[in-house]
Amino acid sequence: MPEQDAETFDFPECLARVRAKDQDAAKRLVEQLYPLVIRIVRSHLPRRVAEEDLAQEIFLKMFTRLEQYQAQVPFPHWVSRIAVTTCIDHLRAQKRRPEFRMADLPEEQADVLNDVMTNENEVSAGDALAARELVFKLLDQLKPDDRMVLQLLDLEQKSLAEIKDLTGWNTTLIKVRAFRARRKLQKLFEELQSKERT
Amino acid sequence: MKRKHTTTAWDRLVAAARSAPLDTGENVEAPFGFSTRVAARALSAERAAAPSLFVRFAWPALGVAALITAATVTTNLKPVMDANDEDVAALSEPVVVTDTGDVSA
Repeated sequence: MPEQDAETFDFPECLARVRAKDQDAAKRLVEQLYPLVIRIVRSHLPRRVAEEDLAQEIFLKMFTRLEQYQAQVPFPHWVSRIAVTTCIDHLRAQKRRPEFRMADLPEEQADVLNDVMTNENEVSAGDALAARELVFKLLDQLKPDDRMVLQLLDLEQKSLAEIKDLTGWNTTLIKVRAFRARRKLQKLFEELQSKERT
Repeated sequence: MKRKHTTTAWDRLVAAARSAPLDTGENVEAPFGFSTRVAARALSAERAAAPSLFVRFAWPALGVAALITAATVTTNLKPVMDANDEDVAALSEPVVVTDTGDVSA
């Protein structure tokens, strides 16, 4: 059954039925929210975690915590926060972060990195995918919380208020994490540049 | 000016990355059977999470058991102590030593 528009879908009615243990309503709720959840999962998917497993975990958490939902925010926003925090938990669980080495980069990504580090030209549109891959490899070097902030701020261009809603962190903490993450990346770029020179 | 340059490098890299086509998931439907499986697991997990009869009655039963124990001890303490005193008194009485005699001597 195709999902209804999020604005027309009657969440209160569906939630009431889910609370009354109506399995069909629970199924419709999952179908309705799947695109939202899978978009967050794909954006923040930790390595070696299957997206379907992560999506399932998020939905099960949603059902478990359903009694805690007070309708102070729209239901999809509440689910988004569960999705984001679950992704952060998985990122934290990854104890080792892969080492970032220029020599390990595919040629396209190495070229993009050279472009952004050495000249003032824009990266060509054809290299956008390589740039995106490279951004994720660099983000992998950061602590999970810092990575999440920088991804939401710089890559997804979300506002501080939106990030606050998604993560539950206050604005000052978000700014501190963004600052820390950028400084770490700056250090990484400097190391790469010095290695390039030698 | 290193700082400015590096920040610019990240900004330019991330700007290029933003122009890559993004999988928004907007037209993605749940895989076949996914929603049914998740809904079934969620509702069955809720049922399993409901406290069993044992859990429900364990604490009250422990309280009742403690009360019974206290009542038993209170009721029986005096007779037990009295009986104990009698035993102690019996032990303090002189012991009769019977000389069996050494036949071999």
